[in-house]
Amino acid sequence: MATKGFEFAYDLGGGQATPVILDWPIAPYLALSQGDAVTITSLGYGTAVGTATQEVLGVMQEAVTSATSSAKYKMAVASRNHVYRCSMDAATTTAIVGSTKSLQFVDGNTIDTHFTAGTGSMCLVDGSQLDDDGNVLAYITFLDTSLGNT
Amino acid sequence: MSSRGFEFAYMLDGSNATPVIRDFPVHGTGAYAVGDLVVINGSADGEVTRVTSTTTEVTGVMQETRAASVGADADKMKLAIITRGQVWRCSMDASTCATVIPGYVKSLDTADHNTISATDVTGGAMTAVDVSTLDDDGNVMAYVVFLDTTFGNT
Repeated sequence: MATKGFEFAYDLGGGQATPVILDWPIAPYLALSQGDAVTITSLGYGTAVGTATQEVLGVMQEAVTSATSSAKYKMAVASRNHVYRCSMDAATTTAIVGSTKSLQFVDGNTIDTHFTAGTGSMCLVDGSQLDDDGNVLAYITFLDTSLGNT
Repeated sequence: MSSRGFEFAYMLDGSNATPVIRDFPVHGTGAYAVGDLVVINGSADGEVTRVTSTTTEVTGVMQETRAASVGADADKMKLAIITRGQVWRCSMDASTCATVIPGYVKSLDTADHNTISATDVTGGAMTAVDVSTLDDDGNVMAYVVFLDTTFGNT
């Protein structure tokens, strides 16, 4: 089966670190699943990524059916050192490990195999495995994180 | 009470790292306190000095105290080196900070060397991680990351 969206794999620094989980406000009425990558709005809400989203705030750690403005939800804060794994939308990709730094999303829980020269900002760490559906199981890092970029 | 200036909170990447402490020469004969935010002063032989109310680049946070006019210029003092992956906490100068949007506003500024401005969201280089709690004086206790660090910027 495909991954449940983005799953933390390991710390690129070689440490035993695991992501910090924070309670974060989510854009009102939005529905998100565990494993969905989220970006940030100008009002500070986490919100769904688009296909070409660059800046990533984090990865949802709980499902939300209809967010309310007064509530906060568990989210793993994205950090440049973190390697996440997530299924792609096809069985092969032309992305090159370490060289392709512009991978795009298909949606919040799938990586696009085709847009290796896109406007996204994910870098492939490993694309040598397939998930149980036969799609590439990509290991990636986020290059533009909300907490830590400029 | 307010925070004692800037206090290390945790690592943003979830590791259990703590800041590296190094001895650095300080500029002038003025007072320094634990928690003071300082920046390196290139025109003063690389000595560090307290930041002011407009702070972009930061070098570290003082880890020891010296009274005014007791020491000499270029005395070495213990400094916690700031990196981008660290979250620090520090009191703000007001009980509310409506324009400080965690994660989105990346130009939060200092009020002085041991206080973060609750209103100046354009002059500095900090991003708030959390501003949901108050200190015992009723001011916002802000958790921030620094975006322009002496060791790690360009």
